[in-house]
Order: sequence, then C-alpha cells, then structure tokens
Amino acid sequence: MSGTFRTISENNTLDKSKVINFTFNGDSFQGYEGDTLASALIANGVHLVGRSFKYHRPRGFLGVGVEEPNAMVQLHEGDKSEPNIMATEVEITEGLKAKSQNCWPSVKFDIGEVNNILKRFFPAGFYYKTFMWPKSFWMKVYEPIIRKAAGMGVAPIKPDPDRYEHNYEHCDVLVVGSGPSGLASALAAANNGARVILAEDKAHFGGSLLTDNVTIGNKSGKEWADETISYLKSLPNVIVKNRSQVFGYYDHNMTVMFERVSDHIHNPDQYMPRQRLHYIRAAEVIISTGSIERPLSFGNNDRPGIFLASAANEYMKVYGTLVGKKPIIFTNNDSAYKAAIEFHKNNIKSLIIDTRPSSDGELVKEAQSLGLVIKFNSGIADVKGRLKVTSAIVGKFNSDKESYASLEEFECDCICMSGGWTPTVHLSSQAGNKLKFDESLDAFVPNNKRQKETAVGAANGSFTLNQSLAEGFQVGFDLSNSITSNNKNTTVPTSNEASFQPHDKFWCMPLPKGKNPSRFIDFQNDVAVSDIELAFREGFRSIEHVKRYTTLGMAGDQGKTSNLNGLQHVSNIQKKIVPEVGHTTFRPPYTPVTIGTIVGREVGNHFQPSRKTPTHEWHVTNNVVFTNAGLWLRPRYYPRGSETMSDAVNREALNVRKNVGICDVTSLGKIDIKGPDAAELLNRVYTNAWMKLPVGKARYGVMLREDGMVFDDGTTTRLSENHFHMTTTTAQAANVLSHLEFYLQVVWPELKVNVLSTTEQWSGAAIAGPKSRDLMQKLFPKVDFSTENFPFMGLVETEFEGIHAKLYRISFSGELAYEVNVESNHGLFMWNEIMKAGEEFGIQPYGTEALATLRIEMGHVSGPELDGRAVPYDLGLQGMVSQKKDFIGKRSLEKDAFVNPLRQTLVGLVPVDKKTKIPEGAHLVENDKASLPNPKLGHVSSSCWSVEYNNPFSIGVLKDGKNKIGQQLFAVYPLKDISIPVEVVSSHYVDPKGERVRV
Amino acid sequence: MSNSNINSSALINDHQIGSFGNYHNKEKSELLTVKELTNLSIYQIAKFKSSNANVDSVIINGLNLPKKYPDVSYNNDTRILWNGPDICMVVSSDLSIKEKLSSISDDDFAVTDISHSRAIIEISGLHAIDVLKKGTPLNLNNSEFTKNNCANSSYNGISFMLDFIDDQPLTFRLFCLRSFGGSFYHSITDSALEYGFIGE
Repeated sequence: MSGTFRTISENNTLDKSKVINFTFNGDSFQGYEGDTLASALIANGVHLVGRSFKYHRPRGFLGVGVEEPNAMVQLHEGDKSEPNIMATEVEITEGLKAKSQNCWPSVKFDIGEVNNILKRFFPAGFYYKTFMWPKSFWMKVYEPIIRKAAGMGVAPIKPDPDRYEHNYEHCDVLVVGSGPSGLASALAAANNGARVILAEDKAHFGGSLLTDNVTIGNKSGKEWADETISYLKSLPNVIVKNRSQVFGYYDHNMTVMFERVSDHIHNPDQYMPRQRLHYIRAAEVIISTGSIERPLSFGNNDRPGIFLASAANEYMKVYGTLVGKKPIIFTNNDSAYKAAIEFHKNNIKSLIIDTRPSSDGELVKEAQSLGLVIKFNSGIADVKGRLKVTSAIVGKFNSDKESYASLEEFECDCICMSGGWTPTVHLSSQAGNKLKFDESLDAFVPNNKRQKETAVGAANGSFTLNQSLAEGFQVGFDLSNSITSNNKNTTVPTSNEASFQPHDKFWCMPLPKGKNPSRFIDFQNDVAVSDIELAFREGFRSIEHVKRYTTLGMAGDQGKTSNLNGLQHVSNIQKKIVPEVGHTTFRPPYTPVTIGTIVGREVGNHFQPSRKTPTHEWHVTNNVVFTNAGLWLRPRYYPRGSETMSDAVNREALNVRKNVGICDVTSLGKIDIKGPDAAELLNRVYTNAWMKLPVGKARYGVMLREDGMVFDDGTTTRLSENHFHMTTTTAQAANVLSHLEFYLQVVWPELKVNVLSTTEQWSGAAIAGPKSRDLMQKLFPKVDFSTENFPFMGLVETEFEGIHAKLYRISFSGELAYEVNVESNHGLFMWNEIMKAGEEFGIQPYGTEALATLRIEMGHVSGPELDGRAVPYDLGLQGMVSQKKDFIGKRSLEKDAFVNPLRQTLVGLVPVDKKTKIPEGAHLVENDKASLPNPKLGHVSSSCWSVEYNNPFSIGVLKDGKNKIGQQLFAVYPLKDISIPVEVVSSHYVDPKGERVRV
Repeated sequence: MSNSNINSSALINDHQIGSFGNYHNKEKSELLTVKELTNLSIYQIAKFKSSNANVDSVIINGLNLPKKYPDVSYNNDTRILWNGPDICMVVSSDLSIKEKLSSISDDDFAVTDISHSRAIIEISGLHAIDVLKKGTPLNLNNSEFTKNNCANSSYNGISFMLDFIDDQPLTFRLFCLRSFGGSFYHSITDSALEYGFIGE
C-alpha cells in the first residue's frame, strides 16, 4: 500500500506507476516516485515523526518545504547516516531508511518527555540560572548530561563516502525561485539576451502556480509554468536548476547555491556527486523567493496533525496526499480557504474557523456555496490529542478578543492554520538590504538595497498574481536591458485569480479560562508565547537580546515561521509598533547545508595540494619519511631496518661527516635576477656588498626587513654580468620574491631588473662530506675540482651526458660540499647517476633532520633563529653588515635597542651531564629554583645530538651571550617540569674556524 | 643511454593512459581526453619597467607580443600568452626558439627559460569547461573567454595558467608550477571522472 490518505484527483506530480519501498522507524511503507518522505508518511497516516528539541513534545509535520521546523529525521545508516534532515525536503528512493531523532526508546514513548512535565523548571534561559550549585557538579554531572542532551540527531562517526563538488558560475541575471514572478523575470531577461540562471529549491518548478487555481493567458498556472520552463531550458543562454537552493548572499553579488544532484536517485553513478555547491557571481540577482505562511498561536498548537493550510493544500495538489479526513481550517485570512475547497474536491468537508467577523472574499464565498460551515469571530483555544490532534476547543471571541464568550469542542484529525504571509526576505537581508515594515502586510519587505539585488513577487510583498507577473516581467526586462541593451521586451500575459479580502492581524489566541497550555511561536526551538513574556519580565528589551535569551528564530530554522509572530509579540508586550522593535539579522545559510557540500572535493588527498620534487618517487622507493615544509614534501630521514628516527638521523649525519651524503635541496627557493641593475638591486636588499662580486662566484647574503630584523638568508651567484641566481630558504621563497617585486614595482621602479622564480626549473642535490670532491671528480672528470680552480663559493657550468649542469661549491652542512643543479626533467637521472657513482664512497641520502644536525653543530642559523626577532648582531652576523652602503633596514639597525650589548645573542649549549637532550623552546635561567617570575635570559632555538662529539648540543639566544660562555645556567621547560643544567659554549661547536668547507 | 632515462616529465608518476570514470557506454566523442604535454619550450619575456623599448619591436616567429588580457598571439608552433603588463609567456614546439629569443635586447627585456618549471595538461572534449568550472573561479562564459584567450587563475587552490586552444572540440592547455603538477593533475582528473575521460 502506498497510503490510504491519497487524493481522488490524479492531477499531481507523482508517478504512480513507480512504487517505492522505504522504512521509517523500522516499519515498512510504500510511496510513489515524486513523493517526499513527508508526503509518503502522511499518505500512510503517519504524523508523529519526532520529538521537540527541549521539551521532547511529540511533533509532526507543519510545512511542506524548507519552512518545516518539526519533522527532522535521521536518514540512512552507517557511514551514510545523516541527522537533522527535513522530511519535507527528502524525495523517497527505493530502500530509504529514516528514523525519528531526539527520542528514546521510541518516538511514541520518549523518556525525555519528562522535560515537558517539568517544563515550569525549564523556561527560556533556564540554563543561565541553574547548574550553579554545587560547584563540583559542573564537570562530572551537569556538563556530561547537557552534552548528552544537546543536539537532535546523531552525527556519523565514519568518513562520508559520497562525492561532493563545487562549481563556479557567472551570469547576468540570477533568478532565485521559480514561482510566477521568478518565471516571468527569467523569461523576460532570457528573451532580452541576458545569460540567466534560474534556481528552484524544489523538485518541481512553478511555486504557487502548482497549487493555486489561476490562469495565465489561456492556460492554467501549472501549464504556463511547465511551458515556460521547457522554453527556458531550450535557450542556450539559460541554465535552469531544480533541487537547487540559493542559501547565501555575500558581498560583490556573490551568491552560493546548494544543489541536490543525486539524492533523489536510487544507486546513482559512483562518480556523480551527491550534492554540489555553486558559487554564482551575477551582475543582477532577482529574488523571487515567495513567502511563507505564518502559524497561528493557540494552546498546544504544536500537536502532530496541525499543519500550515498552504502545506495541506500543496500536499493535496502536488503530492496527492491528504493530511487528514476530518479537517478544521483555522485562519485569519482568505488564503486558507483554498485548502478547504481542495478538501471538498476530495469529498471531505472542513470546518472553517475564521478570526475575522466576516469576509467577502471570493474564496470565502465559494466555500460558503459549497456548504462548508464557517465560524467567524472565533478561534481555537486549545487542542486535544497528545500524539495526534483529536479535537479542537473552539471559542467565540468576546468583543475585545481577549477572552471567549463560549467554548465548544469539535472532533478533527487535522488542523490547517493560516496566520497570514511573510515575504521571504532572508536573501535580501543577507545582501544588506535595509528592510521596512509594511503595515498593510504586517511584514517586513525589502527597501534600500546595498547590492545588485531586486525582490519581486511575494518576496517583495506583491501577493497577487497580476502584481507578481507584472513586476517579474518588468524587472527581468529592465535589469537585463541594463546589461544587454537589446530592448527586446516580453509581453505580459493576462492572468486571472480569486480576489482576497484583508487579513486579520489577530494571530495569538487567548487561553481558555483557568488553563495554561503552551502556545508555541518557534516550534523548532520550543519557544512559546510565555517565554517571550518571561524575557520581557526579566528585563530584555532589544529584540536581539530576546532572541538570544529565548533562542527564538535561531539555528537551522532561522525563524522562517516564527520571526514575525515573535516580533509582533514583543511589540505587543512593549506596546511599540513592530518597526520600533526592529528585526534580527538573517544569516546564511538560509537552510542547513551539509558539511560535505561546503568542503567539496577538498578531502583526502585533495585536502591540500602538495609540492613534490623531481626525485620524489626515488625517495619513496628508498623508504623515506617525509616532512611538510610549507606545501613541499621534503625527505626527513630514511630509516633502515628497525632504526628509530634518532638512529637514522645520526647515521645519515655521521656519514656526511665521515664519507659523503646527498640531500634533495630542490625546494630551496631560487630566483632568477636579470637586468643591467641586477647587482644594484642585490646591493640594496642585502646587508653586504654585491657590486664587485665576480662572475662565477657566489656570496652569502642576509636580508633585513625595514625594521632591521633578519628576513632571510641564502647564497646568490653571479652567472654573468647582469644575471644572478639567488637562493632562499624553502619557507621564505615566496615571501622573498614578493619582497623583491614590491621594491622593484613600488620603491625602485627605475631599476632595470626582472625577478622570476626558477625554483621549479632546477633540480638540486647537495653532495656533502669529505669524500664529496672525489665523487664530483668521478662524475665530472673534465672539471678541475682543486680548491685553486674551484674554490669555496665558486660556480662551474658543465655538462653531464649532454645535460647542462651548474655546480656550486657551497655548504650548509659545514663540510666540503657541492650542489649540483640540473634542469628538472633531468633531476631524477642526475640523482641516480650520483648514487651510482657514490657507491664506492659510501654515499647515503640524508634528510632534513640530519641536515639540521649538521648545521646546528656548525652554528649555522636557520628558521628557528631567524624568527623575526633577531637583528644580524644577535646572530653573529655583524661581519655581514656593510658600514659603507645603504640597504633595507640599515637605519633601523642604528636604534639603541639593537646595539645594546646586553641583547640576546647566539650561543651554544651543552648539558652538563652530556646526556640529556635540551628541549627546543626551553628557557634559560640562572637559578631554576628562583621564585616566579624567574628572569628569562634567553631560550633554546635548535637542538640535536652532536654526531661529532656524541652528546646533545643546542643553540639558542642568551642575554649578553658571548660574555657568558663557560658559565653554567639552567634550561627549564616548565610545561614538563624539566630543568637541565647546561654549559654555555660557542655556537660553532664543530670546526669553529670553518676550515672544512675550504679544504 | 636512452633519452627517456635522461628525461622525466613533470607528470611521469601521475599521468595514466586508459579510460577512467564514467566512460562506460559512451562514444569517444562524448568523453574528455587528458594528456600531458612535454617537449614544449617555455620562456618568459619581461620588459624592464623603466625601459622605453617598444614591445612591438619584438617579433618572435612572426608574432607580436600580446599587449592586454586575455590575448594570445599564435601560429602553428608558437603561442605567446599575455601574463601581465609587459610580461609574456612564450610556449613553443619550435626547436630553434631559444636562438630566436636570443636576439631580444637584454638592455630592455629579461628572457628566462622556464621550460622545466611547468607541468602542462591538455584537456579536451565536450565537458572540458565543466571540469574547469569545478575548480576555477574564472568566468568561462563564451562572452568573456574565447578561443585564443589565456588567463591566470587558481584551481582548487593551485595557481595555474589557462590557454584556450580550440573550441572544436573544446581544448585547453593548463600550466601549473611543476612541483604542484601531481596535485593539479589529480585534481583535474578527479573532476573529470563525472564525465569520463581518456588518458592519452
């Protein structure tokens, strides 16, 4: 059975030839293709779907689309499980599994409902007043309970297996919503040659045209909508999207749309995304998002079986589903009569309760002509039925409408209510539009826009079909014409619909005498009329404060059905008009969006890009452990057998000291500097002199920021008179290039120099160790590697097997070393050749850890020392600072603070016991037992195990460091309660005279 | 020693030959093709900011340097892409391009070989633009970006240069920094799975 609550009429969107099986709370049901989970459940007589957030009250369906505040369900199981899904937005697919959430052990019997019994202890803001005592209960009792109670559904714990994607679109006109005004706008703009995107949240286009008995031209509203959509889809300048909701409006007319691509497809192709996030930049946005019906407020108005009247009508007309067979229509306006008339078409007579004294509206007259009973000047005071409404207590109002003259009980199985209509202004507000309150509509409408957005139709407060169409066609034409200037106007078709009488602004029913049932305003957040009154009594006046105190209009619902009623109640209490009360901020997303959609494909290996060197695969094959250096993957160490990291690092470093090692240095920044003023540029950015550097020679350089702090260091080689090759640290490569570009473009545009990153052009291998010369000689037999012909800081350009190679004699390890640079396509080949040739010399690859060991032992500074707080003098680089020429940062170096002899300067540190490693970041103090604050004299920046001396060694900065050499201090690490006695030594722990690099 | 041992292209460990993604029951013409382009020479030509030289004086293989976004100068073997004010990128299969560029005055221009510094992907087919739209915020509508246009942008966070080669079928060359090549390639091909593609 696909449901006993189906309409007689077959004129709906269901495909009854396709029966779909699904389960809800473990029970099996059937629906038809085109059913939503909500319509299919209702058709099967299921109304109790969940429990409310705070009081765990039984809840059913209120709406039919995104306005639904109650019917949140948990979908699917396992890794596809998904909480808090509106049953009204889910199209059923074969095998769909859904269940109620926020209830235990079952939705019919929920232990949590005790909150409802005790609700006088849980009013708005109760959490601000409770859980105070006893203090010790907070961590062990209150917080765990609150955490367990918080939330609605259960988040899956496994990774999401579905695909989500992003898409970027640009258009002239984005039309949001495919009701009459949206279709008219899209049609007019498209006919005028504009590039149009039309977005509709639902599966079906047409909006109110699907439910209203109207004609456009000589067609029914639905026929006109279908034809218009078919036509728009045929145009090359139009993108038509259903199941796509524009949920966010950001600056510069950037909107974000969420498309449910395959949620409605049973077993979609594995490569088809489940959902897609579209970033849409539109020259103009037309907001035709329609309006949302407001609930009425009466006792127990949240019971299952109580619907918005428009929802009941849509369930019948679009989904062929009856929300009940003994309905009461409760309204303060004419529109709800549509539902009564539609029920009548299905041979169901409704009882109509109208708060107004009378109405001459055409729909009212039609209802009367059908013989439907209408009780004017009446309201529902209360309803009966806990798990499903069974009857309504209807009262005749006294003249002041603050009480009832009489009460009468009427049996029913559903109540369809209408408290008027609220324009859906969320997107306009998100765009910065200053809304204004329209007294006649009793609602806010867009007014002063800040961006290129225009609201039309009901979203603009234009509720008649004539108005909507006229506005839509005009705006579509005007906005498109401002872009295309085609002047191709589209004729507005004639239309016909029933006329409406004014609605009654009375929406909050008085309570029956002596009773105090809850009258809910915000169903999703369990905010009742009494909660807003409590907030007022407790001193909250600003609507923003009332919102936060009561949670009115918050979270996923964003007040779709509650905002206006809430504002009006505040205005009633404060005896102000609504514009004086104002409104709260509408924030994106308009409705909840899956995290997967926001993330898109940035998951797994696509989480962030990584940068690889040409020899990457060689490292992988040789059991490397990588480290992240920015986005670069750099070899960290290469463990062998059961080696620990320390074992591997010490072996690699020792091999460099004893034999020869090879290190991938491709990631070091390389900048090609060309032009007649290239040397002058270097002279200005480096602290040392560059004008006289001979061709074929390299020089170490230090760059400062304008504040005098060391920015970066590296070697730069003069390749020819006007051509230099600069190297930077891996981390600062992009920053140094930007630094140079800034000065060339802004400060010194007169210099004829161009800088360009060539980091990727060259594959670099550092070959270091006492046997490196022998290895190089074997590789490049034609090159004379003697110190006389190829001295330290020299460059030789040569060939290897027809490959152009640049050989630099530079060293970061402090050993005799060379760097071989070949064009990147040849990097792997060169590396393999070096490894082959190096076998006889005991060559081993070494990674960044061994490299760090080698440079720390030598006292060479790197990132931890160049931390943006050091001037050259602090690092022993005073010899690098020219006194003759100007350079960036020179004037700052003259500050008293920077030449203070007591500044922290670079020193070496050895633990007194020669065993305990000193943690990086440890503070240096004179007395580790001193009371706090213990004066900090400096800190440890880099630590290693000295393979040269077989004991720990560190470098760091120390106040008046040079004069403290030989003294004993303490390296303290308060976080781990560590205190290590250390001896201050020279930072040049190994080869202090630097002889090895020059042999 | 074979040349293939000496040369390792940027995507040698990433690019795969074969059919991938949603290619079943589809004609070849419905599928995308993805190739790695190798053996193209790439040079950047940048005029010094203070130079008074006329860029029209530079003619390469009969081509002038493009002067504005998103222009490309092109012939059968060479394309010159606008890469910024007075900065161009020459992409050529002409083996003698280096010699031809050597005549450019180094008093006014910096000519730099960056042939090894880029990974180059060519993607073509009906859905080539759809694949690009998944990662780049560029406006690729045909009113804004047409055949023989180029642009710099980013794709899923990776900087790249886009060269619109042909519209019959839609064919684009995508240049990214070599080190990002693997991530870029996998990002592009992952996006192409929805439509199905042939790695050639």
